[in-house]
Amino acid sequence: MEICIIDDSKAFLKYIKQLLGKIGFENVKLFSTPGNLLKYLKNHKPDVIIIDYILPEINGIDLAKKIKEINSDSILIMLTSSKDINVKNEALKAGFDDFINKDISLPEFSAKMNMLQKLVDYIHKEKEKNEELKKEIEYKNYQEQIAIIKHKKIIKNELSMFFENEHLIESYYKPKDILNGDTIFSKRIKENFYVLGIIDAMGKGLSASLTSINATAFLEHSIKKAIEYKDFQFERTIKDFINYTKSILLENEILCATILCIKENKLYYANFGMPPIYTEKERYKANNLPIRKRTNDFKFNIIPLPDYFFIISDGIIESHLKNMQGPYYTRFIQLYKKAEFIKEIVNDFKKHATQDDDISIIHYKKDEEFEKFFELELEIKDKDSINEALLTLANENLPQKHKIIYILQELFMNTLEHGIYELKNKKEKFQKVEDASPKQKPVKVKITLQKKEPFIKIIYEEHTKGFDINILDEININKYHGRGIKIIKNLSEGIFFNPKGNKLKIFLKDEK
Amino acid sequence: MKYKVKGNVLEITEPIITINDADEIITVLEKLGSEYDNITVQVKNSFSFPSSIIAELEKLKDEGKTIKIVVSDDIIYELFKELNLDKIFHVVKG
Repeated sequence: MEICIIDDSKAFLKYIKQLLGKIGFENVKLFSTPGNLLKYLKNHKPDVIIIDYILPEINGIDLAKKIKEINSDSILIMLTSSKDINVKNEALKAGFDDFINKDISLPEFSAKMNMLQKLVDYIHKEKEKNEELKKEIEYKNYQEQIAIIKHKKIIKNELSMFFENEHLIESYYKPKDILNGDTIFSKRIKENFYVLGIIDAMGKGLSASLTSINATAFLEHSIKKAIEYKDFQFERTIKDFINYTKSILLENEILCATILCIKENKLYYANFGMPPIYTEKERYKANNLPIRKRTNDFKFNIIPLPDYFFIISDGIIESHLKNMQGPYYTRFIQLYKKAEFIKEIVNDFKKHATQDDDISIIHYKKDEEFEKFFELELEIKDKDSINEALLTLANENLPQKHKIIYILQELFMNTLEHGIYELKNKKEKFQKVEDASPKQKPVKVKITLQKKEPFIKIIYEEHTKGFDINILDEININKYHGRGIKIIKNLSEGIFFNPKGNKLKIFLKDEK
Repeated sequence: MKYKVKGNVLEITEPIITINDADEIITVLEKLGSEYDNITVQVKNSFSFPSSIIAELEKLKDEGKTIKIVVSDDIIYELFKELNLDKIFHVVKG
């Protein structure tokens, strides 16, 4: 046990050190000024600090407050002859843990120090246990993170924040556990031609999770190959998918899935026992039973592309309401008709329901014409050009100005870091950008603000090779990357990237 | 932007608008991190709190510092909770 003692009397310090030596405490450091003690504490963490109440420069209570700012772990003992209750109350508030009277007898002093030794030993043991527990938790978290990364690596949800022409596509995926039965995927075949799907293997645990991931990986790979050969056919893809799924299902297992294709202003769908497709006109119910080992054929339907639709797994509608008034379904069927973006449903769900199962949602909507009210074109070459643009915006009279500036701070920095300096990793990001050197020429950026009550649309276009939109689906699992995107997602109703990743549409709700 | 530093407390009293503002705050945090184990950031009158500052605070946390953030703006307070920053730092509304 390391003990530090501070007193302005060198004779007393010498005496108390001898006393401590007699009762077996040899690791004792003596200080006669607060400055010397504070300097020592910057690099050392003694177990116990004994402080005289009366000191030169500042009193013991003020010194304790300063010590707590730099070291909150040491046990602080006040050395005092005072019996003033107010002083002792003040000392406790400042962070002292106990008092020692200056005229304490040797047996009492010995008993107090032995008790402190037991306390310090106990604290050390608890710290060791906590360290072990922390390591175990870190290992478990690491394994979970690897599992999620692996999941994301196998299953691509490329259109999780996507726009092209008038199409806006977004998704929300929240597994209940690591071993989840839901998978969600989306892929662009070519311009205005997309495949979307949610797969839900019935049952729990590893078997359901393996079925779901495997089946989706097969579908993903089939579509990828079809794109390579420029020969994607919805009917043939579904047929192959069913045959593969049957080959991996156990006797009593079933797999539910909704698979859609958007092409030439039409929506092709095959729904195997999943909730309906919710559109502005009607709900298109499942046109197939869930896939089982004995499934032989299937149906698919083609409808005109709705203005919007939601596809979901059963997790959201079967989760229970917090007030125990039934499932969330009752709220969902009211809300989806007026929800402009997924966020509205997710926020409502978080407020009113408890998640009982994996939740997957894909939302499609046709973007509408908004009225332009502001436009700014600039050339970003360094931080000064960004500062100038931000100050220009700060002087404009814009609705939701604060949010717009906050969002643009993040977007400009992204353009500077990725588009001009090409900073990639965590180490580089922790350098300040002035320490890096530009690898690209200045970048032209255009910001357009449009409105249509109650929304404001920010269109941000940069002339760069674009942001890698494939990593967008991974930002929730990476501690250091994508924080800016997370901030924008949180401040806005929705954020959408074009296929190249160099144009964004961000929607804000005008709170007025 | 305006800010004050008193001991281990950084008080941001006017909005962080430019990238230079954010860099200035990062420099102050680096200095506080070299002097104190406990750092308090009071965000009194700013509507933004850029990700570069959050990254610096995370770095200090990883180095073993205890970070307390006192936020007055409702949007930033909710944002911190939504980003799970209240699990990394001690975030309070004030």
